[in-house]
Amino acid sequence: MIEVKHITKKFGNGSQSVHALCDVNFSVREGEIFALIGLSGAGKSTALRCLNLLERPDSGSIQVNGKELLDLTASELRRFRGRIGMIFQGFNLIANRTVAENVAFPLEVAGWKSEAIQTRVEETLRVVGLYEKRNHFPAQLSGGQKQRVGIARGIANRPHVLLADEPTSALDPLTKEEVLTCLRDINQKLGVTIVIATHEINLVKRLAQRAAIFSGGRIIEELNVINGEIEAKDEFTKRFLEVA
Amino acid sequence: MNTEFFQKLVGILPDLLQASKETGLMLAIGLVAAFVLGGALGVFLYLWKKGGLLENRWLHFVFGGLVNITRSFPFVILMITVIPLTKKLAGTSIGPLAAAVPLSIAAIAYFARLVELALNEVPRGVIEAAEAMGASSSKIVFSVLLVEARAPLVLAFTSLAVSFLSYSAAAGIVGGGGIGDLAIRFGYYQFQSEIMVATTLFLVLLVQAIQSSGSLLARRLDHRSSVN
Repeated sequence: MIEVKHITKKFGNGSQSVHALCDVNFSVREGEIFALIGLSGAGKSTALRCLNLLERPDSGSIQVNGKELLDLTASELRRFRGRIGMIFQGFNLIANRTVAENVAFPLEVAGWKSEAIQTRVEETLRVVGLYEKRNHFPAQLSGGQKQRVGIARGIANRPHVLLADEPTSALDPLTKEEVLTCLRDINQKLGVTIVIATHEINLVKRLAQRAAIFSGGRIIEELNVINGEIEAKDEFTKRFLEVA
Repeated sequence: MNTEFFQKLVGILPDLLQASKETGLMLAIGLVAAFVLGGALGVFLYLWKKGGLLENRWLHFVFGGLVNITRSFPFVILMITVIPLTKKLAGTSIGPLAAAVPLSIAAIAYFARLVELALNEVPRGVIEAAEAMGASSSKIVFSVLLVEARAPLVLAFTSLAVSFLSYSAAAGIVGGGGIGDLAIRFGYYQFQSEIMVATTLFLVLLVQAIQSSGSLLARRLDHRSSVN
């Protein structure tokens, strides 16, 4: 459903420019959890952010359900983004909006009617187990709860894909578990395809079916996760898996 | 307190009332202009800046420059400089309505910069999340930026109101009227120090009232930390 072909991305100009992405290719299948892994600065987050064009690649092709993203006009891109959810390491919730109002935001953007928004918000908050907290403000929640609000917001408009940028990296071990379970639930129960960028190998082993490992802006190897273990052939990958 | 002081005070009460009305008029016009035009300009300065949602170097340079130039004028000089404009807009160059013109110009520039600064403090990630959900620039401005920055914006507006209360007193010198004018005419020029002290005290109380209500409102509107 997602086909990424030969994307490159350079940051900066001239001699100081950095190749953030170098001829990156991967594809994500419908319904799976696919992980982009690697160390900081390896390019995994940049690659993830290319999938909704928060980062625009310099060249290459990104197709989602057969549609080329790089050809979309500004308004087509906004509509497309409305149908693809995203969650962030720092949650990025609107602090002066309540939990329910945060989840309502993508629905307002998509032009839903207010009664429909209310119903959908309640339904979505029940999915992530935060219905009781609907009138709280983000500052009154724990990190794990904040991320679950992020997930609710991400799936409110019934997207087929959820992008997760380091979703558990800011959380303590206990709340990591909470978010992991929540992501697994929405994948299995709602069939949402999830693409995760993370350096947390544990999350990948427990959640993903497949992964691509990045280094220096390139994909080193594509990996399968079988029974919670990752099979690696490449030396770099093996070393990464040992230390991570 | 002696009776003579009280008699003086009662004597100027009608004048104080009139002066308060004039000050109120000047402030109201200046603050409304600042809120609407300065607020809009501040939002656009934020959107036009490098890396902003509607990045436009030229517009940012031109309008940012205009704001800087206006703000670098000493207020009294600004008042004199814009007299031709004042005559066109207010029909006269004397009185509170006339003084409201330079006051408004200065207030617009001042508030525009304060708004831009307040918006700069909104975390980049929150705006990015809204972009990732397909929000348009106007949706981001009204539902994210102005919502997240509303407490600092209220404080900025409060600080504007306090500053311009004292600016309006300066406007009094060139026939603008108002409380400051009263203090100078009765208190300073006629050597009635009690009147000057009383009017100044009145201004101090007014500033306290403005600042306290602004701070209270800002606290009420702010949910960014768990304290509230």
